[in-house]
Amino acid sequence: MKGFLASMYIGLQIESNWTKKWVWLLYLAVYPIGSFLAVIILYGVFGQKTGLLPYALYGTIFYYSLSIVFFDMAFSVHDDREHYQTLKYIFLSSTSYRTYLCGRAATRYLIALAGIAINLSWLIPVLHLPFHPNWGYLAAGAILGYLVAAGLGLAMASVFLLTIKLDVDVVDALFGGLFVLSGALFPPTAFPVVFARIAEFVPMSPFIELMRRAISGKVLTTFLSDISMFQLLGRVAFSAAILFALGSVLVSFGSRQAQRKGYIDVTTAF
Amino acid sequence: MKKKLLLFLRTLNARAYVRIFGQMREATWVVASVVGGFFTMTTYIYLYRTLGTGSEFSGLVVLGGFMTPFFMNVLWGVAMQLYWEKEMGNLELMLVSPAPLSAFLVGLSVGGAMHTMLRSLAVLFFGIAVFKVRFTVLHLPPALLIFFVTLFAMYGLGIVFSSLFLYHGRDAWRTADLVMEPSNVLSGSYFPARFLGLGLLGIAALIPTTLGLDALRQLLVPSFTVKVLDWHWELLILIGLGLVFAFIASWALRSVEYKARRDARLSLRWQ
Repeated sequence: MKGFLASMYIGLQIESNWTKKWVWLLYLAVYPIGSFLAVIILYGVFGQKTGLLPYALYGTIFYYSLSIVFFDMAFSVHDDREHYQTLKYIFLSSTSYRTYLCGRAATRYLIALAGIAINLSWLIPVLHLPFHPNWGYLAAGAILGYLVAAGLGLAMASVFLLTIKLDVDVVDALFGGLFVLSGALFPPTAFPVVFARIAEFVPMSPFIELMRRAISGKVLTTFLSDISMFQLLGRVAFSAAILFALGSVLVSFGSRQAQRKGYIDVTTAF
Repeated sequence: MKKKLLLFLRTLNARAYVRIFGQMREATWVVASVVGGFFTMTTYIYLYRTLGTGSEFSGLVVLGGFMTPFFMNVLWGVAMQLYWEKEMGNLELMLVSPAPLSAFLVGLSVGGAMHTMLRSLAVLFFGIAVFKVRFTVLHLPPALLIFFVTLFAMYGLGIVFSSLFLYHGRDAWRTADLVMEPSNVLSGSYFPARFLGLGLLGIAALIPTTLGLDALRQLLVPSFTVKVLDWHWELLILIGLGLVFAFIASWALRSVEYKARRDARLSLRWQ
């Protein structure tokens, strides 16, 4: 736990100490806008009659919170190894690498959630979004969502530990694919039947739908509409358990192999 | 004069070579960026289908998907480059060498544009093949002219930002990350820029992709009607933007070189 908290603190320092506190707070509030600006414009111009704006906006925002964790975990391998050249020292410390990654990403997740909360506080009244929160489900969903994203992020980090030249574009591509399929931006019922069926089993889909319902108090489309909130929570918990366990195993394996192969302090400057 | 020109061209060639061939050495880089671009395009095409808009929007999205990698390259491959070089410890060496910094950045832009072209063409090919998008080639020569003028203006903007980002140190990465998505959206990559409204459009027009894409859509997408301005005017504005950015870039680079040499701090890593 001490190592986890210390890693969270490091995460906070990395995120915030590049500027003055007030600039950082402004950055924290403004940063998530990029994730939903397109949704507001597109649904505002073309989709007013569809009534899908709340679906797309909540979906995109909650997907963004997961993408931050996922990307941060994968990118921090590069950042620490190539940029700051501190990866070898992290491995020498008494905190396990998995704990370090989880702590650092937890800070990013909390920062992302804070940014989301700030933006929702003006988006909900301005855009008349449905808001009947179920705080219990929201809190449980947020914790389990972190574990889902962390599991995927740890798996990706293990790949990056074992490859020196792999670019973070791979993470972007993977997350782009999951974004299409998860139904964050539009109901996957728009897809051909096979892909619509696959979309139900994408790990992010139940999380996003759970958070949508937990915040809006409504079932917004037919996607996963036959599943109750409790069942959705169960699905998210199942995904979280499987993915986090898998990610933990992979990152432990990746760490050992990377040390053996001498990949911990390799710099390529590519 | 001849010596100077030769040095400029040699530096340009050396840096462009690294960009073109270095990027080809790792197949995953090319594959991942093409796949990523394709997924983004797919997202917006299915979104438009959900919204029940006309099929011409698929063409708009595919063209947007073609231009987006160039914008990404300008932001992360040119604007951020001096900062990366500083962080890797190369900037000091570059500044004490007789090679001009401007040649280095122009080489970076030429090489970046060439290797991005391959990725963009792949995204365009998959977009056309998978989503059965049709373009008209009746106006191909002016479309190519507009495309190259847009690249000239975009990379000019990238070089302006490279000096600015170098001044700002660690803030640079955050700034690039912050502006990336909104700029992409505002430039109308995935919808006609005219829907932005006059106020936002005024700001978005400073990003060369906005008018460049609008002009390309007018010339290549047969049923495109929601234009910002006639493409002739957009071409003139883009030429103007390109020249202004080139002038500012040249002045900014000279300032950076002077400050780096005078203060001996700007080029030091982790400063």
